[in-house]
Amino acid sequence: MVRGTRREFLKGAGATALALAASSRWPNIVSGAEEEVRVGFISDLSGEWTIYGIPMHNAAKLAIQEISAQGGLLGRKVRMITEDSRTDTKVGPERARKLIELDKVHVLAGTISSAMREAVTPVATKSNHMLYLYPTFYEGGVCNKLIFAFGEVPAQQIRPFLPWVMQNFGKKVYVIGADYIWPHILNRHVKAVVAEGGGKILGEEYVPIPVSDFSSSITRIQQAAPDVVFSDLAGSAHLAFYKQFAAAGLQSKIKIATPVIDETAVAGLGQVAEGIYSCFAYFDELKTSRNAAFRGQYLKVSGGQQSVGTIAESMYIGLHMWALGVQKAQTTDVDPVVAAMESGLSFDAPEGTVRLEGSTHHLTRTMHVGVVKNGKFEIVQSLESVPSGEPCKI
Amino acid sequence: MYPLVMPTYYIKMLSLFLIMGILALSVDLLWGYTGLLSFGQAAFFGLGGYTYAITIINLLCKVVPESLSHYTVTCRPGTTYLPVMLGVLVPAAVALVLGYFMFYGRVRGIYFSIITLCVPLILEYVTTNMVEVQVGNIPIGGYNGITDIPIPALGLPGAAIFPLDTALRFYLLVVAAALGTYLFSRWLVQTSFGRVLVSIRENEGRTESFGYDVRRFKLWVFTIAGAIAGISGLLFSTLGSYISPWSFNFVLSAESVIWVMLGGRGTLVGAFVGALVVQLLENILSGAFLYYWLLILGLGFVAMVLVLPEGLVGLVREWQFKVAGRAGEEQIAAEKA
Amino acid sequence: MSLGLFVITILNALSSASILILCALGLAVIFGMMGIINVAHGEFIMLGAYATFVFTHLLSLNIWLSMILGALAVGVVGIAIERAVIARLYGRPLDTLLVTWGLSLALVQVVRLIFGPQAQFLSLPLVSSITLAGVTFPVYRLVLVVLAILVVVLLLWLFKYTDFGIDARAVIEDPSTAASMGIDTSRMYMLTFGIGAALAGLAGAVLSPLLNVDPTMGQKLIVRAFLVVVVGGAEILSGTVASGTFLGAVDSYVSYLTTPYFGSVALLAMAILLIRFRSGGIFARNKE
Repeated sequence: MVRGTRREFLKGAGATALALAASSRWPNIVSGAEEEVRVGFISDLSGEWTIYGIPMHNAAKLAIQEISAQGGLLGRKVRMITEDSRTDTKVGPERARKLIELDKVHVLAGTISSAMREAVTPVATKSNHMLYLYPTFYEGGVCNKLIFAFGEVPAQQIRPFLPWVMQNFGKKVYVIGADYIWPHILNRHVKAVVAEGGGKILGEEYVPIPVSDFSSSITRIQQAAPDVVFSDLAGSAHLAFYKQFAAAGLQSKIKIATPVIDETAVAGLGQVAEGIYSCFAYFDELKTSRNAAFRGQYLKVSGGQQSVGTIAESMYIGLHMWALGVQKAQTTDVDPVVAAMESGLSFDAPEGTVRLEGSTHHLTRTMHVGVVKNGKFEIVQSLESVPSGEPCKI
Repeated sequence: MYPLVMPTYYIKMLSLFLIMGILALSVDLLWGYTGLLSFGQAAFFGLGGYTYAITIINLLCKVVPESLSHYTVTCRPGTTYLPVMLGVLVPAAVALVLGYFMFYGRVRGIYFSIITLCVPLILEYVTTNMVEVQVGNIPIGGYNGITDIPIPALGLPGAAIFPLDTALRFYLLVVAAALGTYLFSRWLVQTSFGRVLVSIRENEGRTESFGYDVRRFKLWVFTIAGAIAGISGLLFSTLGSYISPWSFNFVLSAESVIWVMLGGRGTLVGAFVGALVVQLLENILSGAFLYYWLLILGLGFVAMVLVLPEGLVGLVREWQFKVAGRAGEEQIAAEKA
Repeated sequence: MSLGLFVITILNALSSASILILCALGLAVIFGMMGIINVAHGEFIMLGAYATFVFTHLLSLNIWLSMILGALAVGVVGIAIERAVIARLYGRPLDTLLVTWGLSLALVQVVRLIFGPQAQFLSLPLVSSITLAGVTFPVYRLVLVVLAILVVVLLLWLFKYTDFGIDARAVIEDPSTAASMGIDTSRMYMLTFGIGAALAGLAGAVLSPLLNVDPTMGQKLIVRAFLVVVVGGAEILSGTVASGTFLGAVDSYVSYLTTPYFGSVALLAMAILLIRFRSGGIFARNKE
């Protein structure tokens, strides 16, 4: 018994020593750096969502580069500190805590999945009082004084999109989604909009994320004979659906509309992606003057990776808007910056002008419907000044 | 204790590592001592976390739905004995039922491992699918899980409530849990019950021929291990105020096995050592080598096995042996005289 | 349900089964026969898909040829891994588990570093489909069913009727006796492991037009592969076929009649029940 306790004690002391001596990184505070502005970036740079994490990271780097090139913030140097949340919701909050409490960043930016956001939120906004910039398109509903969301939300992705789809392709819709929260919520909006438009939902099914064989689903879809398949399947295994859909010869017969296929997914789908319709605020192929310059700069930061995607662009917007807030508030302290960001900021983004809604902490922006042609998106419809439609007034 | 002057970050990090150590302990008890390789302790981990979250929110909190996907949780202070107890008893009960199903059906060896692999997988699918299903006043929340989980509080209900709301207090609770489960396990393996477990690991047939009902012993140790994993899970859900279907993930189960393997199977301490060292190493590596760290870690594992067959604790033991060797020899010589 | 539709459901079930079986065969050899817990099996499948991609896109070879070469390439990689690492760990099954876990992490990362995290596209070699009751079924999936049958028959023939196969089984069953009879045990292990790896590579190669090819694709396939092999029981090859067919059919039919969510849960539940009530898997030797 005594030996056990001593071993336990030694183990604990050893663990403490180990933790102190070899912690993940020495706190990133350099001498005389009270003047420095630190941006904490966290995203999935390994694991399932790396495919979105890396463009998000590149865009963040670009934004910080540009801010630094303009002389920094409030005359101070700006530095970004990056952590990898590894698509692991026990790691993400811990890394976020490291950024906030050890590195003493002035803002936290990043994360992809809703699950990760939910895991990081208590660390950022409850245990600490940290501003959190969330860039990924999601199911809406975040209602937190300290969180600003820069991704598309259902009212923007569904409400302008579905009526156009039904008008152009037909009113019989089959809905297939990944079995997790974003599609479940999104599809509620879908069903409401389809009903309002006099359309009919022929089927609604949810597929667990690891499933990659869609033969029974495709059989069911064919039996239902819809005009359009609305797909919010997600995750890398689900991309197989489009391949198998095409293999069954359906690519030319039934249209596919999705709120999730972006440039990154298109690259991996080859010709199978042709004719898929997507709805985002940003596509690489948008012909604004700002976008051409943005893509050129992005190419340099990304080490030759051309495709950007809407998530990266939203991160870019988020960091720049935060910088605007800091400049307006003339401080990096959280509360004044939040107030400044709520005062009605707008920003000339690669997608066009976006406005940060003070009461909802989401963006009003232009939404585009794009179709894949020759491996790229061609814009077929644009709707200006689409508000977020988020019900929560902060 | 030692972390009196450490920043909150380190305290929370150590809390996480110790919580994972408790999970690994459940694996070692089953595997190191009874020879039952369970790939599904995450099932009880997640069950403990969810049970605690659901119970405490139903007891102490009001849930107000705000929009399609969000709700606010406001909680009044209160003691948390019941949620903690349920958070241990429910996983234990499930382990009891599952164990009965398996052991009394003569399921053993690889078949046992595969069934334990499937169970958390099913739980993950089920909880992910249950987006709006409510248990009491709280929806399961699908993949987003349950958030805003209140921290445990001791004291007398209604009279004096002592919430463990600082990082340090919570850490002390975790240390108490780690110490408690460790000491309990250490005691358990030294009793005759524990010796039978080892005997089962060594040769199940022979143990049976001595008249022991091995099914009963396996059932008991599986239930206890389920309870320990449940403790780990409920602590985890309070650490981050968050529990989700991720807690049933296969990777977590596999990691717990890896920690035990690297720390030293059958030593109990090895579970904590493995959990601590590997998680620390992952933190250091992923920080230092942002895009390459998985490669280094993977190759590191390979190298480690080829070089250190007994695991880390084995290495320490060997060193202890060498250091104590001379003193031991002298003592033996003295005793002989 | 019309006859045509019923036939389609059978074809779907066969297709699901053949995919499961193809993914599981390599593991049946390496784990079922040799007893090596190869956690990197999913990565062997992934390598087969990537090798096929390299041969078709970068060397512009015919896709069928690329698939065969892809499988062979993974076989070579498997042999290299066996020589370098696995051979030192025979008799230490848990250490092989840890080592193959490490290898799996490393392989995913290496592929990601070379090719990037995004998916790679391989087009379908056969675009025709058959239509029954208004529902189309890709001919390529039928090809996979036929391929699965052919490979299984080939393996059975190899391990039951060829000298090589008999020697290999002898070595696995009783290495010391086999060695004393002059069989080169080390070479047998190496080649058998190589065959297992090549089978996994073949699965990846032929599935690459239907599944998403990215560095993490193997991680979603490996659990089912282990399930199929273990549920199959002691008769390794016929067991894998039986359990693959049964579990694939269950998943397919339940997914079709309800949703894929229930299909996945049903597959897992069925695997548990099969293990429990046919203790020892589908084909249990009556030892216990």
